[in-house]
Amino acid sequence: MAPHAGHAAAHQAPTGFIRKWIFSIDHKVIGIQYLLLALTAVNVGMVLSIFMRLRLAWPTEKWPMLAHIFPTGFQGGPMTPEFYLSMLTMHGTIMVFFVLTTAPLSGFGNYFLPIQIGARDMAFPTLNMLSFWVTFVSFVVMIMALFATGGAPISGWTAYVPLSAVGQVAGPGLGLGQTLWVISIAIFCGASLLTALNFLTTTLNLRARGMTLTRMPLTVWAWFTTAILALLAFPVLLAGGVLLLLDRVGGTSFFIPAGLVVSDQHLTHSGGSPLLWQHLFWFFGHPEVYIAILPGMGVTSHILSTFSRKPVFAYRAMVGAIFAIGFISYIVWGHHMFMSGMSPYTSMAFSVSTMAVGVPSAIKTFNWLATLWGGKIRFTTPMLFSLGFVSLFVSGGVTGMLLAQPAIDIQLHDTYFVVAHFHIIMGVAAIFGIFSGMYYWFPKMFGRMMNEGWGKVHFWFSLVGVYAIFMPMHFLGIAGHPRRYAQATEFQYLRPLQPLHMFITIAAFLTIAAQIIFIVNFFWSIWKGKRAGVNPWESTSLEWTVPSPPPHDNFGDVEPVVHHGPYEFGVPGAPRDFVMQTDPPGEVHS
Amino acid sequence: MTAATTVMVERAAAPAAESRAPLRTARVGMWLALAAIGMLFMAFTSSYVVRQGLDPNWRNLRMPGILIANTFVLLASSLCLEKARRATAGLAWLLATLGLGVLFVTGQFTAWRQLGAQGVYLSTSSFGSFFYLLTAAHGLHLMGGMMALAATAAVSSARRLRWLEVTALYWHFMGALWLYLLLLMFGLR
Repeated sequence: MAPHAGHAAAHQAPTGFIRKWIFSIDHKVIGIQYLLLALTAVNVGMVLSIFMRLRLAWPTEKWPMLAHIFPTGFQGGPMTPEFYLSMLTMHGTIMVFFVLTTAPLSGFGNYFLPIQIGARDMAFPTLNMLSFWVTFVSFVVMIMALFATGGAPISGWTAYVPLSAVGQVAGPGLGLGQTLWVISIAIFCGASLLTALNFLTTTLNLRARGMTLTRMPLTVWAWFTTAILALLAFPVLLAGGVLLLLDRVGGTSFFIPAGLVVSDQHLTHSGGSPLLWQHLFWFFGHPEVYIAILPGMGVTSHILSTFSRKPVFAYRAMVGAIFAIGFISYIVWGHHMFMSGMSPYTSMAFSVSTMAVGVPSAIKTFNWLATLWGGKIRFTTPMLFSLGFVSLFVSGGVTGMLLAQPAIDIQLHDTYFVVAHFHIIMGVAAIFGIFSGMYYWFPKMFGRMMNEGWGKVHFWFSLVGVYAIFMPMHFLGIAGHPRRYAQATEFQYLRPLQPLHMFITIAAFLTIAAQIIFIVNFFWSIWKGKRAGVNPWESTSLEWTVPSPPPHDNFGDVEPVVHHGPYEFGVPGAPRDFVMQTDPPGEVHS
Repeated sequence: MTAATTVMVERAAAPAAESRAPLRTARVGMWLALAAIGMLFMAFTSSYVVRQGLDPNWRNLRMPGILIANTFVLLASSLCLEKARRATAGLAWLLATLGLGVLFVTGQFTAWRQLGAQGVYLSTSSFGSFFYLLTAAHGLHLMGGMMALAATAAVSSARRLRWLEVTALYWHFMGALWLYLLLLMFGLR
């Protein structure tokens, strides 16, 4: 592993298949590994959501084919409510951890953060490899939980105690399945810490000459801030996971209160606090939703500027807003717990801090619009997805302001309104960020363009599709439809809403079908796409100065030196309408 | 134009290898790791405080006497490590640090066995749960540090001095963390 003395590169390019593609320490290979892991995970998560939607739209159908595959989940009749809950739990967990955390931060961040700051690799390449493989082990353990004896866990992605702490006695999936769930999450925490540490050190110490902080692309700022959030939030979830595991297997009572009777059994635990878990979980959980969305904001800023051929409006305000959002995310966790009986004064503090997130969010949104204003806009596929990101970010953010107010939240808590809110803002907005990054960077990663025409078809089906799925959920929520119920038709007041459920399910199936366009386009383009040059989008940042795909040490024999800011488009007197960050200084201003 | 090209190729030979990563990079990485470990114990601390406040049956145990001796062992190990860091050939001091580390871990095991003999186990009482949790979490981190020190002892002496700059940070942090845990569990009633 140690490089030969005198060799100029960060580390020698490996030759064997295993060192090159499996246990690689090259940040680019690791980035692609993370993206492929996320692609696998998102497909698993999507299949689980299909099960859920089937149950909700046609609650009495028996689905013989599915029942044949999952006999315990059907037991001869329609899908059991427990099976529905386990699908719900695993869908949320897999999507949040293995897709929304893995792809935008670890995937794209690994590939492009070092190149964009002019580094040859991450600060600690071996640690980087370890991060990926530990994440992989975590994913394998999570999939084991899905197929565990006794069923997959049913306690939701938030694993609220005491349900998740007392074991098999509380219901199916809460035995081995839940234990594996906790172990997987604890492993994931460890891997994410290593990633965050690497990102931060790399950004702080490995920037090329001339790459001052104010010349860093907003993508780098976003990954940097996200890494700070991950570094300080995941240890808290890890602590919670350790306590939960001890409650489950060590007989302790950190979370389990005295005198609890579950399934007619009196438990011997005493003195634990269920609220403690909620505090620990949400102290992690709220930064976590920004971990999912901040990289998307960075990518969107970058792409809107590139395809408007204009500098990002108010670069410094954008950096400040990213930091403000990151900071505020640590003082708002109580807004997930307005229903827990907290003092109204505490509620008010959390409410005000939550609404304060609106200020930096509005700064970002208006700056995005100002970036577009008067630009020579090129409607490429990555641009469309970034515009879609802005649209979804606004739609999801506005409902966040409603939910931030305790009086309204108490009415809407645990209804589909919340499901609609977080799916739009942290689910599909982040996914749109991932798509726009994928279409934008694909030529750099694979040396070929993705098909633009099919990309646009994919975009329009996805945009209309996700709104068709999640907009009606707001109405379900306002009508008082609780989330996590396997069946609405058993309640008189929910029965009239059933057609809406069927509409959502059909919209979901069409939207999922549209993703096949992306998958086919992705793999077809890897081998058959139009060849991409060094800089097909006429972009300015450092990754567009190196070949597509970049060589093992990114910059070959040339040490990059940066002379320009990241968004110098349309500079008066410049020979082209964009100035690369590495362009020599004299050429432009003469 | 030519000047710029010269600048661009000038640093082409600068190595940035991982195992030869500049000390500054390694040190930044270590501080970040310590921040994460700090957050882990902050989370344990808030759990401790919350549980103590909520549990009417909460009773602090008497501190096992051996923990005093252990504390001095750990402090002495930090002093030895400083000696090793400042000496030109500090292998002996480094091995002394490692030996004291082993002594500390053995001492912690003894404390556990003493508690066990009194009938205090992981699940016996709320305080007991936290005592085992915090000492085990600290002990595991310390053993990780011992592995790093052992690796540091195994490399060439030139490299050892650079490694020590980083491993010493970690080791001293573990010492400070231990004092903090003692204060949390036995100092503040």
